Amino acid sequence: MGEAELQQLIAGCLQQSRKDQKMLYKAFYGFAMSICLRYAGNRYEAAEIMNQGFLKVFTNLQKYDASRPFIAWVGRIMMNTSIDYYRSNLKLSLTDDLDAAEDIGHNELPDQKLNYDDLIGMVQQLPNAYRTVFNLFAIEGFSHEEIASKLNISTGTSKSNLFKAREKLKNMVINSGRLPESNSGSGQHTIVAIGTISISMSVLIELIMK
Amino acid sequence: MKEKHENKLDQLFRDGLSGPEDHFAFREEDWESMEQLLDKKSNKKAGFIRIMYYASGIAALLLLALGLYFYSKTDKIDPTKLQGKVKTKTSNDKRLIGSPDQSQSNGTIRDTTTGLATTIPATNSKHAQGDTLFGKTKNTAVNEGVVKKQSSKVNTAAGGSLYNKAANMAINHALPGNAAPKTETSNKVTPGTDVTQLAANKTQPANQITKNKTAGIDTLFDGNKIASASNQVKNNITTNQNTDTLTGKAKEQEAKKQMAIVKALAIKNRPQFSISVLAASDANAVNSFGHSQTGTNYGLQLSLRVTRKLTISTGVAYAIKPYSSTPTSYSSASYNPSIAPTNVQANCKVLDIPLNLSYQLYSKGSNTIGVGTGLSSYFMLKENYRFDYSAESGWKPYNLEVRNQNTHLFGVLNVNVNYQRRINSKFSAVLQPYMKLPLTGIGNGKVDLKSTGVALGINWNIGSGFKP
Repeated sequence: MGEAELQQLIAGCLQQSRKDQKMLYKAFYGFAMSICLRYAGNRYEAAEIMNQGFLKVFTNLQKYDASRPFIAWVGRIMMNTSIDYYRSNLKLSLTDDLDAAEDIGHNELPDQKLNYDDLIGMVQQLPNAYRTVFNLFAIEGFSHEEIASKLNISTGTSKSNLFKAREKLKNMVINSGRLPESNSGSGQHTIVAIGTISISMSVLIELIMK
Repeated sequence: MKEKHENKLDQLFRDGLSGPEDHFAFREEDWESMEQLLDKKSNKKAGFIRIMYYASGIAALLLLALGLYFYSKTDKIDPTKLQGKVKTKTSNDKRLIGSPDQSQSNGTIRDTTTGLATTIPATNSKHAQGDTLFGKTKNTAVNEGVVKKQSSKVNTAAGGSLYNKAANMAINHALPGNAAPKTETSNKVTPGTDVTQLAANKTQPANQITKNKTAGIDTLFDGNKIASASNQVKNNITTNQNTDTLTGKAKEQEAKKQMAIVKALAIKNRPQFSISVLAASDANAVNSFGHSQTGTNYGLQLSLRVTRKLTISTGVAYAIKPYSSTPTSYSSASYNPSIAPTNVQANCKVLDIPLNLSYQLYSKGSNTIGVGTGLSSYFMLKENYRFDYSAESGWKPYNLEVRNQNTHLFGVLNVNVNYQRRINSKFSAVLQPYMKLPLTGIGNGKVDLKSTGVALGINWNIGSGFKP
């Protein structure tokens, strides 16, 4: 989307034009969803968070500083909305203070390619507290101090949650490498297909013979 | 810290999860729920405005009702307070008007005057002799003690004078002493102001005499409080003289109007307002009270006693209603995951606007017992829900907050018993066990949220303070 077009859309949204709101929503749907999905436990929650985020975008549009990139502003809103969404159960933590988090996931990872769906599925399986910290640290690049102040938790908790998140993710990644389920799945399909074809063929032959 | 050695795992996820924007096809249903949110947002504002609108409407109505009530009360007070005075006024008017109609209203006055008049004759006669020009007739009348004769004489006497009316009045009233020594009788009678005025009326007939008469009055009342009364009489006389010039009809109309107002107000006297401040603790539960949780209510209630036994009440209450629900009872459109929660824990902040009718069953001494029923409107200000999942599912509790989105107009049935114990004429203590039964699904989960509890409070009876 061109800058001029975006500005036009924003202006339309400021006028509460439902059509422009939809255009803007559509334009940033994928971007916003990609953020929310990382923080959310599932697609339902992601959509709910995203919509709440967009609601903030629409209602606070007049506060948007046009000198900065719009997409970054939207992204920040989505992230904050996600954090707020799970804020009440972010305190979940282990008491062990762990710098050991840094040591996880260096070498033992299989050299396989994991696609987006696999990865997001793994992240979503994490508990909210682990997932949020992992997102903020690993994906967004915040420091533990920043995360601690953002989430109103201690840095120890942040580190601990990151450690737990990494540990769980590592196991998931390793396990995913061992199970080439997709192949067996398609194999089953072909077997079933061959079976039905052969049965129908035999029925046909029988009919012809009669 | 992180820069030291880039974590492979982090990198794997960062690379894998970044830039998937085209990965998500736009889903129309997401936009639909977005639209709902946007509508709700405007609704939320509108909802708030609507609540304020309702509240201000109710407040305005209450003010209006109170205003009217007080207004009518004050109007009432005037005539009732002044009844003595008013009567005198009306009687003045009547005197002036001289029409027989007016004399009817003076019934009470007559009695007193007659009573007084009978005692007076002797002294009256003395003064009358010296003072009045009509001495002869009056004296003879007094002496005879025959009222009717006197009046008739007066009539004849006054016939020549300007005030036939006064004479008529006297006749109508059948005031024994009045006719003859008008001023004097009045003087003696004055303890009741009414009488003085009557007397004054009577004095009017002969304008010339008035001065003498009033003088006489003064002398008569020396030791009494009546000095002021005599002044009044003077004033009356003077005003009467002034008003005499007014047309009789206008006066009649005025008098009638006043009578009508007095009557209307007397009928209106009944309705009484009272305000109660109530606090309650109640048990909230879905379906059955087996797993109820305790909530609190604070409310303000305005009651209008329509008849002796029937009371209409309305008000506003802020209620905190926590409850837990099974997922089967909780039906939610906005949250519908594949795994059903094991439990839904809710905490709702509700604005409850009831409209109740109560009937008084028992009233003896300072105790009153009544039963009431009505409908409540719930404005769900804030609803918090927590969905708990079984341990096996591995799902963490999920929280949902809904604000100002649900309104249930007349969606709850109230049933209550009302016990009041009077503390003094204005205040009474209230004990009110109640039950609130939903007619529709309440809140985001459309649950069958029942509440039962006991409200305690103080009732301030406004109406009684203004009773005449």
